[in-house]
Amino acid sequence: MMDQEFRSLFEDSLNRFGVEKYSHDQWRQYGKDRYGFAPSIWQEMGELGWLGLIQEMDGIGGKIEDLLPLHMAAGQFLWREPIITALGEVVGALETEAGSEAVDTLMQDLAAGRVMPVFAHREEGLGWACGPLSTRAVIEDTEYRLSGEKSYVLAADACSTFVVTAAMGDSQDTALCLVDADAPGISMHSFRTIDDRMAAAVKFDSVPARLLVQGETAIRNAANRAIVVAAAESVGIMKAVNRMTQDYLQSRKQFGKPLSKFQVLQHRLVDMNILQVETGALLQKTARAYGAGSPELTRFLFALRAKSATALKQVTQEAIQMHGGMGVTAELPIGDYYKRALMLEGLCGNSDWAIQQLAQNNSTSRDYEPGAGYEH
Amino acid sequence: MEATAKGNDQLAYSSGFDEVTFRSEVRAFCEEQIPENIRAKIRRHEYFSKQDRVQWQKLLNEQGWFAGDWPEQYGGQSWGALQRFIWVEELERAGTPWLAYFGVAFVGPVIFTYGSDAQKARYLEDIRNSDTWWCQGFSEPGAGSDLAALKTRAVLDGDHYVVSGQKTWTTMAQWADMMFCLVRTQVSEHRQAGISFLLIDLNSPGVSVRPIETIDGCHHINEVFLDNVRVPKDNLIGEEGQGWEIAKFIVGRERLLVAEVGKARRLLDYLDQLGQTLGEGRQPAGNCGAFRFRLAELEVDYLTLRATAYAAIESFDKDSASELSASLLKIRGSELQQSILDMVVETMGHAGHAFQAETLNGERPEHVHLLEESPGLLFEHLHSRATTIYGGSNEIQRSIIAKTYLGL
Repeated sequence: MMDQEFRSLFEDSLNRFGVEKYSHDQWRQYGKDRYGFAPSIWQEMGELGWLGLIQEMDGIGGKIEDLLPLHMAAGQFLWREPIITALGEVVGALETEAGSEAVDTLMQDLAAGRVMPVFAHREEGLGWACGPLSTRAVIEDTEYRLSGEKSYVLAADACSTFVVTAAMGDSQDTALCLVDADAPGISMHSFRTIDDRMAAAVKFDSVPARLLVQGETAIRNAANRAIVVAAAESVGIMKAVNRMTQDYLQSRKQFGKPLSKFQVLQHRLVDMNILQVETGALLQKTARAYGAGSPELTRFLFALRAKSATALKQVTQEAIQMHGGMGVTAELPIGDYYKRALMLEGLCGNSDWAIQQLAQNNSTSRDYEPGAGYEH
Repeated sequence: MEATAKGNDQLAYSSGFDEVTFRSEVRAFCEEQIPENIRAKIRRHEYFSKQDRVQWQKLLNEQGWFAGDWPEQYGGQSWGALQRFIWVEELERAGTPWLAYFGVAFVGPVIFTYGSDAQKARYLEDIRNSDTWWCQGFSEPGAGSDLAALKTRAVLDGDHYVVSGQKTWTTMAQWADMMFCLVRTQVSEHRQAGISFLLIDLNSPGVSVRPIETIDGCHHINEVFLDNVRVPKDNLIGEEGQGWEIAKFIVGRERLLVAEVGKARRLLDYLDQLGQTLGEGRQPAGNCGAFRFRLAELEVDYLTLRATAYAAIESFDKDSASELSASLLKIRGSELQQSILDMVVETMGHAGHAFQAETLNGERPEHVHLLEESPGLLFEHLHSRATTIYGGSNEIQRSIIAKTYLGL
């Protein structure tokens, strides 16, 4: 567990990185890269040892709380690197599966920044559900062959490795498979996402793959960890946007005085700050429950999902509104934060979906069944 | 305010037209006579070009509808507010191009209300037939909500005003031939007293139009720089110092135009469909209880907005309009549009968000993620963030209600 001193140093390091390498002009520049981000930045993050924190070493790292400052900084500075998929989904899927050689190697390679893996799960018609999957892994001679189409894979064109969810053979048993990005039989159509990054529809045509993990639990764990880290990123966005809005209100004058003197606007800015703080608190609580494998975890995860989605939406929309006409111009960063907020909602489940999960399972004594509640 | 209602769409005051028949006529026109090039863009929720809009507006003008609410003596049909509202509602439901109201709803009525005979003869016909494209030069960087703080200066020099300053947020100035402009002809203690209304030819030397990039990915607003532009003094509408009165005339009309009731209906119907098209766990995402519940809540908001709009419109025709109604419609119309488009984008999240902005300009990418109308809908959503800001922000509208209606 990270002690306070280490944490302070880590946060300073993150902040300095953001300030020095991720001004909004630099952000725009990185976006012009064909991958939607500058690969050298990911490398630097590896060299700084940040990726190493996914595993415990010398008593530091390995817990999700240890990485929250990184995810918050990713939100605050709008880092373009595929952090949620690599450090959220992939790590979530594999962190409790130590022991298999393929899993251990991948985790170590990721910790060292030697690979950039992305999670390839979503298929057409699947939404945020874990299944049923149409991508299949069949055994041919001694190896697995993967076939199917993943409709939405983040950073597919830049990644080194795909962690692909698939049904085994003819069954509905699921597994995670490791695929090298340069393996034969992969084709993709890349497109820009709403937050000015890249994703792709990826087709696998009998692609050689290594089995990583069997069972649906890993898929669910990937989604769970993504919820937590996305919430951390959301808190970071809120922090940045609240600061910008306050600065704007204090500097913009109309009717002879700064906008910050109007009580209506003051109260709304207060509400934005309340949302940031309370979402942060729920995040920390959920992160602790995650690390402890608490039986209450599922309920907290869906609550965190719902809360972080609605809070982030309200804060970013209010921020635009309070910037007046300037708020909808591309000149200010506010719109870019808003688009990232829209993107995050599509990645981990919108608030209706999260509320639906909770509503289906309102009793505290019952086990949760994610995906229940969609009538046939 | 009394309105004896015979039923939902029929009201018992003599309005000179039959609402049911007229509504059917407009609906039939939309079903049968929208040109195919425009129909294709409607399907994709695509952004219309200037050419599309002029084509559409001319078609409406041929029907005698485009300037239908203008007095007959100026080429209109003297429609009341109700008839115009029904007409616009049906056009919006059909997804047809947004009518550029700067000419036909703003400067045209200004000219026939405040202008000289020479000005009417010079400008009105080309407004009706969309041969002149107009834009609105009101806001400035330092004068947004506080419009009276405007600084663009017009100084009389013989037969011309020499105009210098900067206008911002000028919608479609990049397409415009003319700009109607609020300028300061006198610097006085009472800021509103020195404001005049001037028509400026954007081809004049000293005028430059610079695009403002907006978050929705389309180019539609601009900055207009005026650098010692010589404007004939014949282009002054009314008297010097009458600009504020004319501005109020326009902003009053603007509030009514942004309720967009028909558009809300169209988007709600689309949202329902979208819920059936997109999957969650391979079932329709729209079968989810939370989705249906939320859609029903939006339906309540829509029905309320529509009822309020019709009630307000009837009162305008009877000259018993309340200051509350116009501001209320602006507030609720913009909020509803945002709520619906929030749900549209959240629903699209089931498939993951892409923004293939090239399709907004008519390019067809090799691979379309999700639906061909996704970029158009994302554009609509991002654009809708401005509806609570433009046309007098919703904060200002609430202040107007507080001050002029509640007397606070």
